[in-house]
Amino acid sequence: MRLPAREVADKYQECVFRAAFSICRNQEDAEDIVQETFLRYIEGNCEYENEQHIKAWLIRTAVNRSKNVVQSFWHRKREAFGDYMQEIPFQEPADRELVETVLSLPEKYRIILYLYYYEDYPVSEISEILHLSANAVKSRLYRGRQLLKTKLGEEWTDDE
Amino acid sequence: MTNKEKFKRAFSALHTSENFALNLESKPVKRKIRLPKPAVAAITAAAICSSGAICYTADVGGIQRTVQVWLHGDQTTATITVGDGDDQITHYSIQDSSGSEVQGGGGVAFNEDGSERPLTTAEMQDYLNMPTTDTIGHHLYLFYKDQKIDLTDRFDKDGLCYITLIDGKKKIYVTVAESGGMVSREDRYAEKSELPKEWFK
Repeated sequence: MRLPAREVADKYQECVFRAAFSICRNQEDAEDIVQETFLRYIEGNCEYENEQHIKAWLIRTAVNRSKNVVQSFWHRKREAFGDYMQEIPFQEPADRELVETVLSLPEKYRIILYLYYYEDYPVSEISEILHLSANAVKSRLYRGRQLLKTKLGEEWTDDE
Repeated sequence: MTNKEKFKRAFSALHTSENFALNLESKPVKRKIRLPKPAVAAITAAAICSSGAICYTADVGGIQRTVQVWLHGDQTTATITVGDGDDQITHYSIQDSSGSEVQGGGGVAFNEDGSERPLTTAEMQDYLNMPTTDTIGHHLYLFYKDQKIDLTDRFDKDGLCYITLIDGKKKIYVTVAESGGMVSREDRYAEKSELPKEWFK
């Protein structure tokens, strides 16, 4: 199946942006990645099993592109991340602290935490999206949680 | 609230900017350029200056090497993790005293057939050994090891500044744009025509 690009974009643009931002930590880079991801969707002419397959494909494409961006020589510096964060109207101060803490973690933990806690993907699907073994995902999820607990203290509870 | 509920509420505040409009009809000009050299990694203001100890840690799943680096003229410690079976990217991380990452990134090298492989520690060190620029208090500085040069008033009419760094027998020719973009070579200065146009917008 395929869905019209506009319909897919309306539903998943922000999801793709957050996934990209959680890796590259730069708003402009993340928006570029959103643009490139949807162009690949349009140009790819792939057939998908269902809508969830489309969403997973979009996230995987954005993640791969984001990794390329952060490896590139031209990747912008961290100040851009700080400026953008100051402009975001978080509901609570604790929300800002949580986002900033997650984004301060090494890249390999950030995207897994995002996919698990925000997108509700189980370990098996994160494993498929990121092309990692399930054990690697579990290990990074565990380590990411530990780091959040250490940095956030009581703000991060022991529930999974 | 559960962790998931907290996470969802916090991350739902992240959005594309108001003036971002997705183009779904024509291919826009890409603004990014891949470094046409084998070693690529995220930009950094650090320079490796000495070797360190090798250890193995199970939780990161690879060989880690800790090295002393220069960061804005001060020495600090960076950790280089060479990519392994699960993660083919070699990462580096510089953390402050509280354990928060202040800089980090990853790099891959390209084989002749176009396939990717993790950077070696030596390749990552070579990359981290490059000079860098940073803006502090409206002044643009060039950093190289423990040296720091204020470039703010040194730009010519083309918006470029040319600096030669002498490190022992090695000479590094650095071309810096007012935007902070920078290219260094050991044979000659990079010319304006070789630099990304986005640096001059």
